[in-house]
Amino acid sequence: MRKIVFYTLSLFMVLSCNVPLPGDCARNGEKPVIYPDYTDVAVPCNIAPLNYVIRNGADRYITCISSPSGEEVVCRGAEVLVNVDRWHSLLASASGKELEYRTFVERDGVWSELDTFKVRVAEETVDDYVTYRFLAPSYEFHSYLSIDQRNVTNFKSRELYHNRFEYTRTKQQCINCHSFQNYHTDKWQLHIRLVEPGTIIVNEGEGRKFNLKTEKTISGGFYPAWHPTENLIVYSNNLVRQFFFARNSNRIEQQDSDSDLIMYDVDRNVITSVSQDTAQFETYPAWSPDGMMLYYSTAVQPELKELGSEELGAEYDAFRYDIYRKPFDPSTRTFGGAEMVMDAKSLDKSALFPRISPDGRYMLIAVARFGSCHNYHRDSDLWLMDLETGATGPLDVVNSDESDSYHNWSSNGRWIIFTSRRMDGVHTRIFMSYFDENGVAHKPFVLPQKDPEYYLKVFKSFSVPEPTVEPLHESLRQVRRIIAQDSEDAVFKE
Amino acid sequence: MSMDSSVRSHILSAVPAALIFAVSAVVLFLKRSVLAKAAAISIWSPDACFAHDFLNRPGGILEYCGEYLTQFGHVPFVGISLMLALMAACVLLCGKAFGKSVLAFLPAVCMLLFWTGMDYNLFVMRAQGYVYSQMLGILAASAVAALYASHSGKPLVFALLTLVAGFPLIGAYALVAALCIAVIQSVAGSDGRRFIVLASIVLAAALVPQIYTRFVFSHIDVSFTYLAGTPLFDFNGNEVRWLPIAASGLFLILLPLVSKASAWLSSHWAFNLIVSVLICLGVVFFSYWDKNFHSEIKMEQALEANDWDRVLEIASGLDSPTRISVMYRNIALLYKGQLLDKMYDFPDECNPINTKAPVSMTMVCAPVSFFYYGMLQYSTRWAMECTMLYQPGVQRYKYMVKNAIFSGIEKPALVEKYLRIIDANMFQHGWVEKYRAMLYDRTLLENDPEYRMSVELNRYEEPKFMSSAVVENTILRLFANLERPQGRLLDLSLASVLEVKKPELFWDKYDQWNEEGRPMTKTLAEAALLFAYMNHDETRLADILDRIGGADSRILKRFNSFSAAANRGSDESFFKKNYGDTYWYHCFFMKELLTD
Repeated sequence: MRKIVFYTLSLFMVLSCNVPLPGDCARNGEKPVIYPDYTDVAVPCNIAPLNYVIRNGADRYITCISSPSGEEVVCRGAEVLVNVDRWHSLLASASGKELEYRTFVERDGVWSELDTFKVRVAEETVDDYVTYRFLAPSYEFHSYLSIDQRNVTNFKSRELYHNRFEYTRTKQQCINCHSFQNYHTDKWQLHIRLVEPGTIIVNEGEGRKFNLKTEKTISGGFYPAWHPTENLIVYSNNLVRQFFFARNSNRIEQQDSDSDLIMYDVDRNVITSVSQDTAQFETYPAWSPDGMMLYYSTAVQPELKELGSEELGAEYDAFRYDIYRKPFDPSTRTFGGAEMVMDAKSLDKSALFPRISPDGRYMLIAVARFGSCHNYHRDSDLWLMDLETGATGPLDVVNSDESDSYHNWSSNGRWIIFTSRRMDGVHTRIFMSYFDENGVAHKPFVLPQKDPEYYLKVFKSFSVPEPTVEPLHESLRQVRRIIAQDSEDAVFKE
Repeated sequence: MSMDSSVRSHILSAVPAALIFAVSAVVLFLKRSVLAKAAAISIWSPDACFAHDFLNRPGGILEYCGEYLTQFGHVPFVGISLMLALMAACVLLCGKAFGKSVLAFLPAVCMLLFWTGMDYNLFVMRAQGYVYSQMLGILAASAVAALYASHSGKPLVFALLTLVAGFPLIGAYALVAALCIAVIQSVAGSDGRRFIVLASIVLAAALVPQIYTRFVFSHIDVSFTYLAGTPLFDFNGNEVRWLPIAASGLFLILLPLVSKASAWLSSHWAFNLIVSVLICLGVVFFSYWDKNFHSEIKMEQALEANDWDRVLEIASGLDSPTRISVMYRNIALLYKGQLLDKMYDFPDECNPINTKAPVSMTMVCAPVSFFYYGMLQYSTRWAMECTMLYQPGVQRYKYMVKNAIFSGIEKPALVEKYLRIIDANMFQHGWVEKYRAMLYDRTLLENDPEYRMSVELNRYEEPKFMSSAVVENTILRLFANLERPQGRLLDLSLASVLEVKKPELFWDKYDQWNEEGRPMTKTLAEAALLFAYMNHDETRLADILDRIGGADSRILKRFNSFSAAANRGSDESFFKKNYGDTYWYHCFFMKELLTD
């Protein structure tokens, strides 16, 4: 029975994608209005179909997608849905070139053609998987959430873990900060808070749970950064406060009242200090691809550290973070002195979340006017720094008028993957932007979904997108068993 | 039997059923505002992704169907009729399974009590569709029992099929049905084999759900296996709310044991009458009748209809209000321009909410209160938190829509998203069209009284630091500390100063009030007299006397007698009786505002 349904649907899709084009019809000069907007973007040659819906009002629609080699797919209806296999065949035929989209609309019995748009197909692939936190937007509280992994070459996704197992009125398990070593999934970690708290670390198939809070640290591990080759993770320790605005359109300010950096040795369960400067707020660590430099954000504002909690809230717009780095010697596991990489404060900006491209040439940062968490700042934009020349500036073609943040590079350095609230101002979505060999970024596109109106129907946010080249090996129940373990206390070593 | 006695027999046998349904209908009618509220804080969508969230766990379809049916609560008469129809269906099926008996009412009535006994837990329910889902569950179990009873063969096979096919759909109610079959066959049979069948069914009821929760469904923990389809996460600290569900299931399972006896008893009309009266008394006694609970819901609904007089009418009937109803009533007074005249004419108390459920007043009233006090971002914030913490609801999205349109700071795409899902629900299209029109034509806002008031109440700079603890304290803190508030904001600011008893913030605003030529109000006069007297400020006192009509002023006379009573050391009850409608009573006897 299932086979009959499958083949019937497939036949329907094939038939609906093989319709004759209207004969001679005039161009009406109208731009196609499609949702999501995939016009004139550049996509990887392995991405899932760019399904979309046409919003130019008409009675009937026909869309023809063609490659320079002559291969084409024709779809009928306002919803342009392409079979995954046919789409990949089309992409393969257009790799390094452009797909041409011709849209025909019928109104009152007369067919006309909208303006053509193109989609560039890059020769480079993007990593096959992206893992993200999937949760309803909120501020102080949280509820049902999950860590999902999506295969970006098709529409398949699965829940790696969710918090619905343990769920009481007074406490809800919070799961966050999933992180993988060097785009692979044989080593990864995840924080669990409030219920069965701890940090789970999976190291080549063996999963254990640790408590990274010690007497010498101000909190447990927060934002993680796996060393690309060693079994070391640098964490920030953060004491976070939230303040809510009565009028400011940013709605909320999330602020660190204190933050430090520690390094955790996975093999020995030992924590050492990286930077616990009482005059600075150090956070958001990130390694260079060769593991020889640790980049991080820091606000050198000792006067703010003296403030009490109420006064700190009153100074919420005074925080300015710069980007620093420290050299690291893997053989001795020691750090050298810090040097400033980007003086954001002098620009009256706050720079967070450094991410170094795989070739070591570029650094991506999220920049806003102030603050320690740009996720809620509408003015948060992605900036790029050329580490060779020092040239720094916003990626105007990538940015929007809403918060753009939480960026990552694909493993080949050709794609920038980030989250943005641009679609409706509240719900974060995953976007990808092509970064070509000349260091130029291209118009981003939203992660495609099977239902083109998916993003209109879903009231959850996609948060913390982490690309990987392979799927997670552990099943949901295996992850559950790891989380249910008792945690082992980490030891702080001076 | 003669025709007359036959008719009489029919009438007598119908009376108990009619009595139970009549009482149930009356109780449901008296709680119709609660039903409307439940409909307001639930939502339905035909989208596949909405359905997926229900169907990924056993018993989810009960919630899904319950959520659909809850929409009818927007028109309480329809919602009540639906509930009675489901009850009737359950009773008929139980009668078919176990013989016509007044005892067949018990499972359905217990489920009715699950709804009518709902207290403040209503505001923090995580399970969706709960108004009808549990009644649907027991109805499904009754249907299975009735089906088996009409065939009465192969009980083990029947029970296994029920468990295997039913557990994914109706969760724990499949277990109830299977156990009911086990009891039916053990009562009907006469050989020892029936106990083997009984034991086998019990074993299957224990094992089959475990297989599902361990190997098939990933969205339920094994520890919750036998509660699948019930409100798993909702009654911590308020476990008494489980009793109706447990009782309903237990009655269904045990009814076969008493079916023969009850059939004999049921032939005696006195037994039927007595039992039906007891059932009716139980429905009335075990339902939740807290006055504050029902009044607050009605006041909220009146606020949303902008019927300020209705809000005050309800408030005047409350002797021991919570801060929720005090805030709602003050909103109505503010919008009528009577806040500084009458705010202490009503009982000014802070009673806790009457529930064992760990519910905070903030969760009950924050989106509504913040909206009507003009704090639109806070209203949205709490609507979002409640949506995420508990469940999405039409009312919560409505506040997000209104706040977004009134403030103008959100993208139209976001508002359209909310409008779209609201519109997917029955009875909402008119509301959606009204606000969609405002979204795209802001000139229409000028005619909206709520918008005009929010503009008036929004005329302040961003406070340097606003944390959000409890709702009333946040409101009072903001408005009490405003500098040179204008228009209606001045009323609210002065009222807030008086509530928090900060004389140092009072005089500037009082002087501004007088500069603007606004007439002296009762509460303002009372406060000014008190503060001037406490400060021994003769100049102020003289000015106040002048404004209130001199030495013959009633307010002055009352103040003098209040002072005299204070000097005599009269007790609080004396002051409450004689001066409970004054600011002086609030100032001296209201120690702390307990909003949460």
